[in-house]
Amino acid sequence: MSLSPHQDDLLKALQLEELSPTDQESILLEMEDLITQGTMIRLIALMDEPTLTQFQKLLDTEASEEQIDGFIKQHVPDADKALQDTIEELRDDILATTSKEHVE
Amino acid sequence: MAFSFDKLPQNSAPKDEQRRMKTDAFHEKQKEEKLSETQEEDTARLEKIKLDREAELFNTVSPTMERVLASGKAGPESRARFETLMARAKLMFGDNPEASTPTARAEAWRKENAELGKSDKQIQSLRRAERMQDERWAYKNFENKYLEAYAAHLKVNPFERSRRELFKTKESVELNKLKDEYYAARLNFLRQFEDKKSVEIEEKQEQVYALLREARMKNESISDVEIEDLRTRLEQEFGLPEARQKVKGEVAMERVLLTKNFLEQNNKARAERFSYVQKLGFGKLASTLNRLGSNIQGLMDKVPLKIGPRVGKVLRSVLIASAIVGGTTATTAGSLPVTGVLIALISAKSLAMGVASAAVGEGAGAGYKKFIGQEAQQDAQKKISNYGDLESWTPNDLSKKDKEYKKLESRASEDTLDRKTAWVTSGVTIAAGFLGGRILSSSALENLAPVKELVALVGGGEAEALIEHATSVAGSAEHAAGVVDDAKDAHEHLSTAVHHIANATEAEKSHHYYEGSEHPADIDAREDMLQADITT
Repeated sequence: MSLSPHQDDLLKALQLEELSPTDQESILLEMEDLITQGTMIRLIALMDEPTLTQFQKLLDTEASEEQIDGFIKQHVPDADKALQDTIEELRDDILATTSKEHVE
Repeated sequence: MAFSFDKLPQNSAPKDEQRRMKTDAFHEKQKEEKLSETQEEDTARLEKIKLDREAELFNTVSPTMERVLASGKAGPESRARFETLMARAKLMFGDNPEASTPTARAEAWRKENAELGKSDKQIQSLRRAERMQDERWAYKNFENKYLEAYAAHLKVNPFERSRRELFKTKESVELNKLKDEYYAARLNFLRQFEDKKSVEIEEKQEQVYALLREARMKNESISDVEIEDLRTRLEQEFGLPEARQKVKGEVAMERVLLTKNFLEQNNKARAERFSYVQKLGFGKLASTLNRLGSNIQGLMDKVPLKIGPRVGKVLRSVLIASAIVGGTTATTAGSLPVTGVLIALISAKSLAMGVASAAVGEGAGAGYKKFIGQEAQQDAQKKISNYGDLESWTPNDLSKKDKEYKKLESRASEDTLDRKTAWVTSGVTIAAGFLGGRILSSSALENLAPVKELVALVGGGEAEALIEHATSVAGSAEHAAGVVDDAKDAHEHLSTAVHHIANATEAEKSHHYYEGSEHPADIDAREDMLQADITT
């Protein structure tokens, strides 16, 4: 498995580097899925009806990744914040379950 | 024209089979969870689980608490906590003090099952399975309650844009409380999950210990080194390293799947606010969301991330220490360690701040909720010793750390229980200060180039802001005074290190540093280089 520097750092942070490459990859993919899904939901929420219609038309044209990316950057001013909010939410959730002692 | 998610291009990278199976199995397990049919059942089962948890806690802390109470040094908060536990124990076991312990309760349970012909091993296994099942039920219960409340909240707050904004509103206090309860339940479940999965390891470990005891009995002259060597070889033969790795992997995977499930449910609640998503169903959305994954990764790739192996190792140590701390307080203050890691996805600056803030914030949050009296001291020492594992500690560092331990112990032994907790917190903060300084110092000695950047990142107002944050978190508790004082000490320590390193960097840059030269500038430069190391 070839890891990007980000993925490698994430593995270390979560103390996963001793796991098998398959498990590591599986966990990373799950986390990337979460980021993708959460960001997408937020991006959609940020689009008004006309923008959404335009977005729909773009998708009807079998748009490339670059085109979709360009559209979002142009029409969704807070697109970066959507990503940031998603990562923050993921971070908070991971933190809540990396603590070992918890009795209420 | 209605928007359709299924028009999004399909993901060209299908999930791998193993991953899909794991996810599917998890969701099947989720579906099988049966929650109570009535509110009364719900309340009764939660109460039972709570009693089990408190019994465990009681079992852990009661010997220390009894000693402290007898000494008359317990603070009001600690005394109240202990008295609550005692009242609970009384509720559970009646007035019979002999039976008022979890051990006695476990023994009664064991006898009950033994009468049914079950072996000790079967009984222990049953007990573990029951606890895990209870905790799974508890977290699902709170998850449902939270998600229901969250969906209701979104309906009356349609313009909510982020979770942070959401939690600013007054009416969200109850929702936040529910979420805390959910996380507490999830943590307890994971703890039981790990416990149950560790059975095989414990059995093998016990076999190893039995053989070691036998070896020592047969050969009294065997040295500790030889025993240690034998232990390592036996553990290898019994496959313990692999077994530990397997458990670690299973726990990590379960944790991630729980995160995934919960955030998916959150996303679903958000998505359901939009009529077009409701019409299409969430399944179609989920099937197409991966499409933009590479774009998001692309965004991340564009952000510089400067993290070396040393910083990575430090971060890991911080996280391990954070895991030891635990608890709600640590969840609040200790959010900083993970900030240091995940925000690194966004910027190198945040990473450097994350390291510093992790150290200081963790110090402020540590100890307050969980650690009491002598146990607190022991845990703090264990925690701080994790930092000592860093390869870069010099004899000077160790000497300084040792002095801090002694100072901590001395103060703690003279002080009240609550103040002890404050000193534990402070001690961790001081250690964190060392840690932060050490990062800078190590970088200075190995490579002067990044030092200036690091100094700029953690210097001045930002470092001050981090200290303020740490103290404000601790300030909510009655231990604030001790934490503030020592956090300031740690900050001063760090600032001094930064100052010396900055001077050393400047000296190097200006070629003022010559070995053996008696020129005042060279002497100053050498002094700064020396101090940069000693101070940290």
